[in-house]
Amino acid sequence: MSGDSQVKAEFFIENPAELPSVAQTLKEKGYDHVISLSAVDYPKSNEIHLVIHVSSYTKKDIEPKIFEIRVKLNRDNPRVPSLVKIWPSAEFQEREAYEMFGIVFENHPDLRNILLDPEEFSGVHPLRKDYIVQVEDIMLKLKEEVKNGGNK
Amino acid sequence: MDIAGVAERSIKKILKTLMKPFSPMIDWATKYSIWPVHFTTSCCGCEFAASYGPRLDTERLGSLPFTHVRNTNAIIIEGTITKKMAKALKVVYEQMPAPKFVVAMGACAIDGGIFHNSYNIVKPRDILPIEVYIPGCPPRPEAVTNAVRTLQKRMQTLRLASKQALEG
Repeated sequence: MSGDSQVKAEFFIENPAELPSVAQTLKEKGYDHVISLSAVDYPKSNEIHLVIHVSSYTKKDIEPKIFEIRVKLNRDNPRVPSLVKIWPSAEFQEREAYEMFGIVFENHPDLRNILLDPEEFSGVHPLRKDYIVQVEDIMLKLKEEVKNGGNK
Repeated sequence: MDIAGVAERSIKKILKTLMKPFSPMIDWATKYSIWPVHFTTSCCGCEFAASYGPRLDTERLGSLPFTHVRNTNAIIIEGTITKKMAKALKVVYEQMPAPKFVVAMGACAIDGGIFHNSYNIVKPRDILPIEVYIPGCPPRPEAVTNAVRTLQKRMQTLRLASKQALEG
C-alpha cells in the first residue's frame, strides 16, 4: 500500500455465471490477488451479495487502487463459480465464505470447513442473519421488555 | 458369577480402608505439588506467565507449570474455549491422573466474557468440574497466585485430593 491515495472502483454482477470472465479481464489488466472475499446477507430481498476486493502487487500504477466486485446470489441456493484458478489467494477465503454463509463455490479444489467444527456446524451458517445465538436471544427479549415498560 | 470383578472390588475396598489413615497425608502432599498443565488459549496466558515469573514466583508455593499432561494434576483454563478447543480440553483433562483440579481463569472461562454472545464458545463449567474461579479481564498475576493459595486451602479443609484418590 503506497500513500493514502486509494481509489476504489466498483462493479456489480447480476448473473453469477459472468464472474469468471470479469475476473479474467481484471487479471489481464494487472489485478493479481484477492485482498478480501466476504459476503453480505439480505434476508428481506432473499439475496446474498458476494463481495470481492482485488488489487495489484506487480503494476505500480494500479497498486494504490482497490477494485470491488459484487455478485448477486440467490439466498436459497447460493452457487457461484470458484475463482481459485484465476486468483489462488482466494482459496481459503472461499472456504470461509462457504462455512459462514453456505455459498457453494463450483469447481473449488477442496471445499470444506476451515475454521468451524464440521460436526457442530453441519448445515448451519452462523453469519447469516437468521442464525440466533441462544444468549443473544435472551438479551433481545430483555430489550423488548424494557421497551414495553419494564418487568410487569 | 464374575469372580475377577468381585476380587477386584474387594481388593479396592481393602486398599481403601488401609489408605484411610493416610488421607491427611495425601492432601498435605498434593497441596504442595500442584502442577498445572499449559493450556493457553488467549491473552490470560501472559498474566499466567507473569505470575510464575521472578517477581511473584508462584513456584515457591510448590506449583510448577508443566508440559507433559500425564505428569500433571491441575489445569488452569486461560481464556476462551471454542467448540473445537473444548474437545481438546476434554482429551487433556481425561489424560491427567487423579487427583486432578480445574481452575477457570478470566472472564471468558467463567461466562464467555466479551464473547458471551458468540456462536462458537463453550463455558468450561458446562463440561468440567471447576474448583476455583479467577475473575478479571485479564486477571492480575497476583490473582493467579491467590487462586493457587485458595486451591491449597480448599484441599486442606475439604479433603479434595484424598477424596478423589480414594473414591474416584
